[in-house]
Amino acid sequence: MNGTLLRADNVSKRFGATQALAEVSFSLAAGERVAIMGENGAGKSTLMKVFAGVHSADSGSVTLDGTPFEPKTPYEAILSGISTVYQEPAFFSHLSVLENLFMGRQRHQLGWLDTAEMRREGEALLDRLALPARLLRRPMGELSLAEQQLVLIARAVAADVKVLILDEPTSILTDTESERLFAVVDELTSRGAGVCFITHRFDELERMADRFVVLRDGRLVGETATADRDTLLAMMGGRAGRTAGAGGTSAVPVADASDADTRVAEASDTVSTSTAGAQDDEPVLRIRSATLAGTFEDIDLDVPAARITGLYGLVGAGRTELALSVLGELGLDHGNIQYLGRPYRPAGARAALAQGIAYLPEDRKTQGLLHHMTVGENLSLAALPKLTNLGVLRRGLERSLVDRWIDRMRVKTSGTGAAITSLSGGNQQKVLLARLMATEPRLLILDEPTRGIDVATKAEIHRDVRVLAEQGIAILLISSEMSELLTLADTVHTLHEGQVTSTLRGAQITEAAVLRGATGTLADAASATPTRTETPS
Amino acid sequence: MSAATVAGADPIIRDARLLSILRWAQQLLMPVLLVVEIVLFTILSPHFMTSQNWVNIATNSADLALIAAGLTLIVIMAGIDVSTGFAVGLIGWFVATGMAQGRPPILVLTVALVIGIVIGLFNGALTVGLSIPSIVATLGTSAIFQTLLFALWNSTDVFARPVFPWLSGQARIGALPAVVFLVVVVYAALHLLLSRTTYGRSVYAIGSNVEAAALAGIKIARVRMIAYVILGALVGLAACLYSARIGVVQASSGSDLTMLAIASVVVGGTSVLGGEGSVLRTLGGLIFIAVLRNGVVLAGVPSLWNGVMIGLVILLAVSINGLVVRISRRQRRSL
Amino acid sequence: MSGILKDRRTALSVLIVVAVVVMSMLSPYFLQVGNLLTLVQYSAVVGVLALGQVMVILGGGGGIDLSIGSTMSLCSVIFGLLAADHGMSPWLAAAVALVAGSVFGTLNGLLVTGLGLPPLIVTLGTMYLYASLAQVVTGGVDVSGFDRDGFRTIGQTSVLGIPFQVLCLLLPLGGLMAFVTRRTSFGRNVYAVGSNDVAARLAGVPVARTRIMLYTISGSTAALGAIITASWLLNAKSTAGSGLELQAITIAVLGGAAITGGIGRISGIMLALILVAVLNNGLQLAGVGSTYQIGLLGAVLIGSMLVRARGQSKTLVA
Repeated sequence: MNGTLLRADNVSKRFGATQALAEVSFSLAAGERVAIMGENGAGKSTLMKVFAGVHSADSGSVTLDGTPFEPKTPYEAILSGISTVYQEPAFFSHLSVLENLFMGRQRHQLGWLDTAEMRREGEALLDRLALPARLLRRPMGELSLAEQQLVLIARAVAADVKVLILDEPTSILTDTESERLFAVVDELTSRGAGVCFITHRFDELERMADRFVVLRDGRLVGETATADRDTLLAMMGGRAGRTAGAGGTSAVPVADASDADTRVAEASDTVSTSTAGAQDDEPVLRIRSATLAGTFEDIDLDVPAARITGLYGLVGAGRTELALSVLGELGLDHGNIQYLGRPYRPAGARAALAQGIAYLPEDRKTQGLLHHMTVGENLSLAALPKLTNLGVLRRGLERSLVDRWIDRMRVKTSGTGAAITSLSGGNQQKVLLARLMATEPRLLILDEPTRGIDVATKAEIHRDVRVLAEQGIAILLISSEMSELLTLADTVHTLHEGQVTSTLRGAQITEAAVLRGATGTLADAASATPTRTETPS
Repeated sequence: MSAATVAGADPIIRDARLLSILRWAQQLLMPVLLVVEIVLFTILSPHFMTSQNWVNIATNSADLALIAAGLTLIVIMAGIDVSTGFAVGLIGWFVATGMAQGRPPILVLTVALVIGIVIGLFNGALTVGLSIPSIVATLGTSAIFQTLLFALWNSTDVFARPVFPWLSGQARIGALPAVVFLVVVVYAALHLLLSRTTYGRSVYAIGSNVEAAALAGIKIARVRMIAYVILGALVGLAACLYSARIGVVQASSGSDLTMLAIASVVVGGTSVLGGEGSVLRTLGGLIFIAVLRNGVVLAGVPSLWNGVMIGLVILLAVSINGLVVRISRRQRRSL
Repeated sequence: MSGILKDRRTALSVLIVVAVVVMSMLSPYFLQVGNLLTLVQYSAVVGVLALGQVMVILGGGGGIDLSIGSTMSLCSVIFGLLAADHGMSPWLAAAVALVAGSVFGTLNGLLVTGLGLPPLIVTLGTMYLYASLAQVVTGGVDVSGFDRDGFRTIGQTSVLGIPFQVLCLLLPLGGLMAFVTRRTSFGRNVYAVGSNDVAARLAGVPVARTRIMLYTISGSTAALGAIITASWLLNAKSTAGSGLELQAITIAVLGGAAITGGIGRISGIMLALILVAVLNNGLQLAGVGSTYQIGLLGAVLIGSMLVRARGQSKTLVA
């Protein structure tokens, strides 16, 4: 092993009001494998994207092989030897695996492709990941997600790679596939390359990395050389003191860790007794053995009125899919759902809304906002049926409804006629929440309601959500943000690989307990149910 | 408590089966339709299956073939060009006038190619350089070309003679008209370009996923610009064939070629959404349309029916495509 | 949305004023009342078509109706054959043609939304289909002989000195469309669907139904165009609408409709139409043929896109 390969010094990055990275220092030695850990939103991906040329740091410096490294484009980073495999990677679904492997760096003479040579190399590459050579000719789009991921890893490895960054590579791989990946990683590191993993899986940490770096709220909070689960959980959960700093050793503060441990112990006692102590009254939504093959399986879930029911799971756990299935926007292979005590058949978002089930989508930009329209038009959209007379808009009614909600949600806007895009992310989200509230729903499904929103607005939205629950609305809160669930939820269900792994109530809801459930370290984590990534395309 | 239970009769497997059937249909549609068409016309007309008729079909569709070949590159990159018809008419005027004034044929051919390339650069500059959606940009240039042609024409038909014998139906090589070889050479060259060169790979990559293409370091603007230039040059060449075939250049010359070229590409099975297709498919689509236009007349059906059949085949081909996309999307469980 | 749009409409208004000034200097007849009134007559048909076209474009999802001209041709011969050969009252035949147009449009809509096909190709297919059917049913011959029951009122009379088809059809239709797009929930849904169809669906907007309706509207306007033309020329041609699809799209885009959907106002389309009418008329008075107007239209279209392209130069368009 040689010296430092990749090094970041006091790197900071800010997105709007959110400090994604705060003075993070990090180094990767040649031949080293490092796991970057932390909750969603802790800044892991942002740090990796600074290395990959997707983001540029606001301050701080990065060096590669001892020379300053400031890639302006991802392509530049790749040319410099930093390859990244993202969780939701970009590839050419129409083109064959061979073409995907070599796109942009084909073997050729004067532009004339040397297909035979590429096929030879391609076969060798696939073989290293134990993929059959026949895949080479298949269109990329026809492969399973795991196969696609492996092909992209093969592509990254094929380049003359100095640093390989893998974002949750194993979340959709089977154990044997993971094993092949680790073998390839070993091969790379023995040649002097460095590898960064972003991961949530605890069961293979030992196999995966030599060193573990934990980020929280954009800061480096600790490093350790041993894959001790409880220690790591404690650091991720923030009970670890803020021991941020460059090149921190395996300094794990002990003070709060024991506290966390006792909570974990106390939580795990009662965890598996799931739905005991049900509410007196019938839940607003009752889901029984809901299954969507390959996505989620045998889900039982109750969402009572006037309560906030949390659903925690990592990306790919099947949370959003479950919500979309309840709406009827995704299928449901079997299972039965009752709504307000009556059988309910999902029939699309429109029908759901008409019955009082409102859904706040996960991705504000692609699934929520009408970008070309005004604040008022965005707000009143779902309530339009109530605001018309024979199809003609009752403008006075609409205006008063919009004004009322803008006032109630304290939306900061220059007026109802302002373009929705002129608002901050947090205020846009308030408008979308008001859009749903204006329909007077009985059940509100909130999917990552505060993702990418500044702290102050986040607190306001949290307050609003609590008020709504107090008014008797049943709320299903899907979140991958721990603090959100801890502050809001009355009950938390954790979802792991498409299954409910634990149900926590009241005092049982601790960070450690939730994380254990979500990472599958409580329930049977060995299940090889393939899950799918979440973002609908 | 009777609950609404959603039954599941293994929809994934059912979909997979349906999908593979549809993929077959997608692959086989054009060959099958072509064979059916040829058999049908052979039965209906004794004049159809004659060498002379095939020569006619070939010479009458050579200009369209060149345009459709170039257009395929644009369509694979999810673009479109609706200006090709009037571009042919416009260049055709220069060709006819040049020949009528007795200029050297080689000069006329060069001028045709140069104007074609300039037109390609113009369309390319608007769509690539200025980011105007290709349909809008070429709609605009089409109107401009139409007017330029009208202005040049100035109520005087220009009678045209072939630039070179090999650029018309006159010259034969063996039993075949020379233009057939020209078309074969162009298609072979473009096929090799698309399937065997880094440039071709870049074309497909851009059509499949522009962002991923940028990530792979592909110079997107340059690749698209080159495609417009190739199309422009082929339009210039097609204009020589066109003026020789029709024999006269008028105000509306070439106008019908625009939509026929698009139809050939689409019927051939190249997706307007980009990322898939080939010039060989376009050739299939083109032959289908050319044979149809010819055979319908020989079979005694009024040529007015041409459009009905072309329209139906477009809808059939695109419907199968649509089903494939829809079902594979359902399989991937995306919103 | 208001920023760009206001620019567009302001730009159009300025262009109109400039065009009027230039034209009145070129020709002393230009500013005479009679001329001003007939100025828009020529544009009535293409204006009606552009109103239909813009609805389809507004609905997004690559919405475009290439078949609008062919639909007009087919409706024209349906009308002609019913009124002339079958002796139906021309007014009744016109009503039948309107229904037929809406059916042809709906078929486009069903293919586009039901099978999820690209509108460009679907309407290219039906463009051939409808145009050819129009030829087939008439044998390619013009139909005439329906100058009864005062049918020529539509195309050949004036009310208050303004051509009937402009005052009683084009302007009311424009007003109706403006009302529908701005003041009804359907109109709001159109913009929502055009702006972001996933978001619209999750907010309970019936996306497919809305888009189908847009094609129905576009088919109906094509039929209206056919009726106006038939009354104007007293002749039902099987090629009545040929080439008008491109003009209709051009006017729609010139009027500020974004080809990607969700942006555009009916008032912009009307301004674009006025501009085109002024240019057409002025050039006619200046003795320039009508084909020049098409070229001018193309140049203005590209010019207007250049203004817009600067703002969004980073988007990757095909």
